[in-house]
Amino acid sequence: MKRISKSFPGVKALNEIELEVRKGEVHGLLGANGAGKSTLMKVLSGVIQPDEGEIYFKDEKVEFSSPLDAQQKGIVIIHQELSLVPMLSVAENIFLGRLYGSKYNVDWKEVHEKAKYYLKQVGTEINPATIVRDLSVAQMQQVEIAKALSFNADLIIMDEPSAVLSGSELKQLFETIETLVEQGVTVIYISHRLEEIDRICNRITIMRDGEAVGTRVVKETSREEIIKGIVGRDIEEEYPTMETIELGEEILAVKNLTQKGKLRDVSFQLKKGEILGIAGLVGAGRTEIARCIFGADKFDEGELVYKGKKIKVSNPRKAIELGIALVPEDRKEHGLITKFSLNRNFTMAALKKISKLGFVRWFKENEASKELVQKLSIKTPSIHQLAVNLSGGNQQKVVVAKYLFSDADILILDEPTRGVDVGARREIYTVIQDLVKNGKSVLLISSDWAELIALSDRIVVLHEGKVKGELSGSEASPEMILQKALV
Amino acid sequence: METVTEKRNETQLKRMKSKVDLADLGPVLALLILIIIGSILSPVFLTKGNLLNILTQISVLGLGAIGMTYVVIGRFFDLSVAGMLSLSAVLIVGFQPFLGTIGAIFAVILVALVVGLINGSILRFIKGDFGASIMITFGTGTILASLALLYTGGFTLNPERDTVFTWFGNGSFLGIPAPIVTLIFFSIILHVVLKYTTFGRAIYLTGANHEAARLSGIPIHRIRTITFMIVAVLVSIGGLIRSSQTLNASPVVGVGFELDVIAAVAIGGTSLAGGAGNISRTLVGVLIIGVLNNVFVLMGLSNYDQMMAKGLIIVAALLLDRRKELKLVRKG
Amino acid sequence: MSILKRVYSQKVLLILIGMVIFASVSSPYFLTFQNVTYLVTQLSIFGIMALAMTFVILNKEFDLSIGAVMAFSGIFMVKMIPQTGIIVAILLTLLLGVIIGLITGFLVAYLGLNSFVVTLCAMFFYNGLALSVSGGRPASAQDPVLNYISSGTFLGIPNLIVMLLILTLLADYVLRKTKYGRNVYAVGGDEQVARLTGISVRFYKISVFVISSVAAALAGILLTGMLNSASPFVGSSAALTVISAVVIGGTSLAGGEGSIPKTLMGLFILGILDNLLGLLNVHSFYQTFILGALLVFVIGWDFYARSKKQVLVAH
Repeated sequence: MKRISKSFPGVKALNEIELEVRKGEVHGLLGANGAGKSTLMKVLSGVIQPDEGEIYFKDEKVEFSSPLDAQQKGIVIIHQELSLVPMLSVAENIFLGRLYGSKYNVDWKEVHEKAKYYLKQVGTEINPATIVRDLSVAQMQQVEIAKALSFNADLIIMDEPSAVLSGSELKQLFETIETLVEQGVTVIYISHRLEEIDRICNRITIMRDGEAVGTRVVKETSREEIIKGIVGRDIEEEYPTMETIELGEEILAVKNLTQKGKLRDVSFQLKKGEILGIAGLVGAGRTEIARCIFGADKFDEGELVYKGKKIKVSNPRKAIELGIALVPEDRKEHGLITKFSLNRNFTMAALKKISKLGFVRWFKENEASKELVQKLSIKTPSIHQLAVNLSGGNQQKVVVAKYLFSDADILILDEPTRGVDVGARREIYTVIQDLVKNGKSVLLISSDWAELIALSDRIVVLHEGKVKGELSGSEASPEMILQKALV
Repeated sequence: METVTEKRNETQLKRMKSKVDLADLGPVLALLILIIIGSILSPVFLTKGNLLNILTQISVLGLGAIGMTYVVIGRFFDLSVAGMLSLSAVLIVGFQPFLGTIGAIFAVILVALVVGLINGSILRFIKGDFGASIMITFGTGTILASLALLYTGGFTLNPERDTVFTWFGNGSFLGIPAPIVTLIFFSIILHVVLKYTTFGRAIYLTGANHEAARLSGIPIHRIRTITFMIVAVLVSIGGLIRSSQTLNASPVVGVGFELDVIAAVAIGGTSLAGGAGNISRTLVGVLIIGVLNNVFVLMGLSNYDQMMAKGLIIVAALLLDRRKELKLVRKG
Repeated sequence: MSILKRVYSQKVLLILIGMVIFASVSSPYFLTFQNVTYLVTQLSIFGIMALAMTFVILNKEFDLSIGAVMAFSGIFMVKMIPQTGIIVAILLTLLLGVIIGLITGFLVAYLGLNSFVVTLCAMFFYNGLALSVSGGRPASAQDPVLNYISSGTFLGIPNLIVMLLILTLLADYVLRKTKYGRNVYAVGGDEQVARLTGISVRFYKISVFVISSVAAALAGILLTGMLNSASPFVGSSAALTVISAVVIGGTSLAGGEGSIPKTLMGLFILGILDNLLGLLNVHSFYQTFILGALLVFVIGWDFYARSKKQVLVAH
């Protein structure tokens, strides 16, 4: 009952998307990370406004000035991070800001009864007086959905609701969605887990690089077709051909790494000069592994063997001293100090190298910085430029440079090309290649499987915190990874 | 595409530079204006005697403020300086009979180190943030203030007036009063450490983005704890000077001191958002307060009016700081 | 496990009961009618401010200026009485509280300043103002109406206690039963969510500062009536005591969690402690020390427990 089209010129976040969702269906929205699913849904729910394009809802052209506006018109989005106030009761959260009763006398009986009513519609028997903090994540989702229903929502958007749920909780969610559909509510379900799509969705729309690739009926579409749609075809030419590099001896072995609720028995080896890819869906435990090896988080069981010796990394300082570095996913918050100049960023992980008796030697710092700018061909007018003024790709290079300067032998790169444009991407690939050419080893985490395949010697595929398989870079294909990652 | 970005970056950088310069000059200009006002108000103002008098009076505040600058650059806050000033003032005098003046000074410095260590350790243990540092040090400051009162039973102590003790408040070095010499001495040390050492650099990095600093291997908790220890030690030396200047040790000498210290740091332009600021700026802030106090007196304002004026001035300084911050955010 | 948990969740009440038992054992005088009346009367003025402070802390803000506002209000009223008469003077003083709250609230809600630092400045400002206006001397106020309000009785119960009781019931009602009260919780619990739900966060931030300043003004009026004079020196420990009471009661500094009964419990814990130390002839300096230590412990505990919780949620 709805025709949407909108475009974002310039930025390629969304490019003239057409999406049609019919009343009473569960419409799946698929796509790799960064395909633009979340952006599209933000537009639909009034979080951001489109630059161009129109939204029709129930055959009427609508414009949403804010999420509240969209809610009142009947479109509610349920984000991954739930928008509930944890200290308040379920009932109060459902009617937050619009409690029943007069201004001076909230009718708690009515509030609780109505809350119960909506909770029942969702198919749950949660006591409305329960404090939200004491609920499970699945129950919190149900409360969110009940809240959406209380707005008389006709369309509920669920943004990767399954990412935070376990198996039995997932079943609960599906039952809830079925109940919703019975009541004539339309659902847009975002996920990249195919088995969920198979189970719950009527039709799907696949997105890639900010464009809608196509809309299909689920029952008439094979998994292979879907995977092809997500991955796309024209990938080969984007990536450089890798020179083959002689692999050295084993430099790091991860043995039975276990972190409660996140990682189970993860083991793999990394050789000198190797690029080891780590693939998996959101929540599979990729970043967790990286942070454990780097000492940023603690793990419960397992051991790390580095250069033949068992090591203990209690904090990042220890890891850096040993020669292990992490280029974090969130480079602006964790990788760089954006309001500081480049040279200060370069040297922050190895202040010892530019100092004597605790005194910083400016000359040495500047010299080293100039060298790093040249080595990684970072585009900047000066080493005194503030990091905030650099483009995303160049910022990423600065973070890499920081750990190069700290003499890291192993670099863990967590999503190094996310949010980076094509040209800079290629330069980052060159940097990675140069790293291994110089005898460093790289642990590459990426959601871009084509990128992983093109760069990696081997790829470890994770699923729910466990290693589901290992592929050699030459034999791997996105389809194979996806199949393993989905299990 | 690339050239467009570069051009934009360049203009942005230029714009930023000019703005930063203006912001830096603000406090200096304010100081100059105050000095002009002072010299118009009274012919005495610009005499050597009065100027030295101003400097002598701000030296205790100055010691606290340069120490606080370290803490604030590290994105923490220390409200316990007031209690520390009172406690150190009475302890030095109290220890004199047992340890001698020099021994007492060292003992009090030791106490200060422990206080700083406790402040830092509590905040580390509870994983406290900026807000926690304010509240916790408010509490520890209350404890220190009550300890000062407990130690003397609420009375003022009389020190033994030996030469070492009296020198700090009343002596001089090369013709310059000792409090000023002490302030200059520590200012230079703190300036050099902050600007030229890796420790100083680490404070900036910690304050600017503690997570990025941690992931770069900087021991952020240790750094912050040391800044607490530094401010406590400097304040305890301030306590010594204050006791020596007045030749008595009052257990309530520190009341309101924290506000003066915050005022000096904020007026100097060190951002409470952390990661920026320096000793010379804080000294300008300290000078402004000193001259302001002097001008107040010349204008015949009471102590009470000065309290009010200070409250207003800090809010104004905070607002300026806030505006700078917002501009940065908008840019980011 | 669940019994233990339930007992643990009532730990503040248990501490309070334990203290009452300990106090009545260690001093036979403790549980007499006179002492209890005296205790509650003593508490009532800080109690009124604690009720208001609960609103502020529930909103995730802080107000250190209440003591100074209390002192200044007392002086202000005494200076107004000769000109306007007692009734108008009282009303004007309460209006003064509103204005002071609006100013603080504006600085916090619109200009984004840290409420702790702003109210610290405000504390010095109003302290200075009180001292300046009074010339640093207590101003005496002999007024029968004022005296009756603070020192009279109603059905044999001191007026102050009646007033504390009424305001407690009112505050509790507002927080539990009115939309305003619930929105105070929502804003403190999660500002972002509250904003997205269409709640005007700024309005609530400003309103809680108005409440706390008006309560401080009222406290200033009552204290003046009680002492028959307004002193610029009172109230220096008010903020510390009141905040301690609220936090000890179990209202979280993280906002959105807490209640009036909790604050009342915290208030009585402090009051009994104070009373007991007085009965046992412990010097008041020790009391400040204990208060400070308690504050560090409770705030530390609050933050520590929160950091633990965050880890759990992250897992």
